[in-house]
Amino acid sequence: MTRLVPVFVSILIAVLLTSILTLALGESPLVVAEVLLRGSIGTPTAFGYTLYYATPLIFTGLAVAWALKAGLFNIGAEGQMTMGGIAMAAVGIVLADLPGFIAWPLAVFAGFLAGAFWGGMVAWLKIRRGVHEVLGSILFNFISYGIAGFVILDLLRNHESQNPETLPIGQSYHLQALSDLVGIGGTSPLNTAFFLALAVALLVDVVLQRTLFGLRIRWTGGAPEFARRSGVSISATTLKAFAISGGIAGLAGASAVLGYMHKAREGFAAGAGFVGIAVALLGGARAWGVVAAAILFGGLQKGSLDLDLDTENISRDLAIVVQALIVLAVASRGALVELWLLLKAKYESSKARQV
Amino acid sequence: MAIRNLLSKKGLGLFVVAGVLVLAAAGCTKKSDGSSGESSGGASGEKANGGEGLTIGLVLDKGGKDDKSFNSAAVAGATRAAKEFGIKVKDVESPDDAAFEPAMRTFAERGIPLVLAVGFAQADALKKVAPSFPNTHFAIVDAVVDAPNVASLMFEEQEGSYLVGYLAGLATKTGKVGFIGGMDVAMIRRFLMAYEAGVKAANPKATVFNGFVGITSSAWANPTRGRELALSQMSQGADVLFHAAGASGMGVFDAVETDRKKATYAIGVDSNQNGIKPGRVLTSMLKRVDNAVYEIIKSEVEKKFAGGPRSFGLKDKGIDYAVDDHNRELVAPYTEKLEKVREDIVAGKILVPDFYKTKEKK
Repeated sequence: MTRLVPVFVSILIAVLLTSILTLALGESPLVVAEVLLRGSIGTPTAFGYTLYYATPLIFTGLAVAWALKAGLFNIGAEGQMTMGGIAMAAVGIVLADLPGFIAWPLAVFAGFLAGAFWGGMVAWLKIRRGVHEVLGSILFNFISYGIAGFVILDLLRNHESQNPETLPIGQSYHLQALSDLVGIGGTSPLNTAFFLALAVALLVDVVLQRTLFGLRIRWTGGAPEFARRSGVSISATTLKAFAISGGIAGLAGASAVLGYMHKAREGFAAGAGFVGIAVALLGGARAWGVVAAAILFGGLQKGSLDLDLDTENISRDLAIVVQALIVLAVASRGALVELWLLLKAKYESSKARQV
Repeated sequence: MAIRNLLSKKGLGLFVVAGVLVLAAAGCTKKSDGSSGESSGGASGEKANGGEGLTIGLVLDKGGKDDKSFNSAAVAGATRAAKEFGIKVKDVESPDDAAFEPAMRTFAERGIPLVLAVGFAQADALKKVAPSFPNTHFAIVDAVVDAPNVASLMFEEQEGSYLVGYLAGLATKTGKVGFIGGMDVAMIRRFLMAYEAGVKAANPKATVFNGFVGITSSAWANPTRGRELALSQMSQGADVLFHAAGASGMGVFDAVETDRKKATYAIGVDSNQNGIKPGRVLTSMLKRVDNAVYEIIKSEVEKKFAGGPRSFGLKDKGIDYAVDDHNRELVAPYTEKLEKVREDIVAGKILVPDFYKTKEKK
């Protein structure tokens, strides 16, 4: 529990700063908080949307967190997500008539493979050519946009539609909406991809904490010299860890592509890969922390849509400000603790002098 | 003081509790509003013989309300209606494709009688939402959604394109004219097809070059590429260039300005762009999204809303070409002929080819 406290303090600080900002803009923070709460958890539909927005963030957050454990910084979740989503759509269009029990698992697997391939290439470049993974993964993002454009707008384009999107995927690939399945989420597009995300979170947690492979990853990230001397192959672990990170990010498109739009539309990743970095940081790079952080960010994203409607001076962009403030506060946690200790020491010494 | 209170744990607790309470209260009031709101709204509407107290919802496309073209025009039309009828307009910008649906639903759930969806990207979302709210009226710009409570506002872009094509055919000295499209989609093909027909009608020997900026939505915002395409067409001899390329069209205006002999002209699109490079813009083909939005709000206020497709063209000035101080002298020699063509199109004497319809035949 003590580990969690600073994160909550960070969120508190972000809330405080946001309150000052809203006051300065001439709106009551209470009203804004009410709008955000109502918009994100006020109705079953609103909460469904919150979880829908959170779903890709759980995947990308887990991907980034997983890589962090191995001492790697994966900035390429956006590209890996894009490749994964394209692969899912491609399988769903080309093999449209597969029966249901094999169809969607195959698409999900294809998404994982595509993302893993994309991540693996970055790791391979790092191991073989010494290309830093931050540089590699960010450049691979751009390549993925190009490939996505080619596949969506050329190979699999739906010429009947004015929108830049692919043909629809086969019926058997649709991930069911939770509202149809178990009656939750109101009329939101929340679908079974959310459960897939939770399952992956559980898997990540178990593998990292309970398996030898997880131990190797944590050694590689935490004490590479120790890992090397213990006989762990750093390059093999790096390759595997980064490929799996990419694979997890590759699943992030499932919610939109298989669960909601039933096709890949240009720009479906919508920045989830980058927000995932913030989610991983906020979640303390731990699986359940990431899930919680993703739901918080999803709630902000959904709740803020109503700000345009219900306030005069504040627009939905406030959500981005809040997200940024939270990340800043989390990132400067160490400094805050030190500041606190410094103030405490000063206070105590002045007290001592008075006596 | 207030801030320090907030900082303390008690303050935060209060803050959260207050938030939850307000939320609960809002939830309750909303419900009672939903049922009584409709009836009272109707009653007061009849009494005031206008739209007093009425609120209209506007769901904007990703471009946002300051895009200086499509969304801005919709907001302008709604604002005009709001002033005239004393109603309120609420607008929401959608950050992503998944946000259209909740925005429409939120409006409808709050008992807003008319919800306007701006842009064809919202068609899928509206298809899902409209049947769930049979008592709410919806309108969508630039797409057809087949539901009894949806008005689909379509524009006869081909009529205006034909007209400015005819003008281009009359005005060209080289016998070569150009067209720069934004994203290569059916709607822009529709512009091109009619433009070509218009040019040939005025000048059967004329050549029409065409180029598209791209095939993704970023093609609407790439003025550099727009300029390149324009310069290339100019180097082949084109001296009148019509663009239907959103913000990429700004590059076309820049290209036209590079002609030192001042013998090359651009034709603007959607809004009146004559003033962008005064003297170098022959005219602008106007697509009055603002008028369409105004009209549909007016019909709602007057309780004459009707679902189904509605088209705006030359006859009702939903489509037009712009004449103002910047280009009055430029177009003066051709006005007579242009007005004749306009009358003939409205009267049905000239059949303008429509890309949408030729596609259906295939």
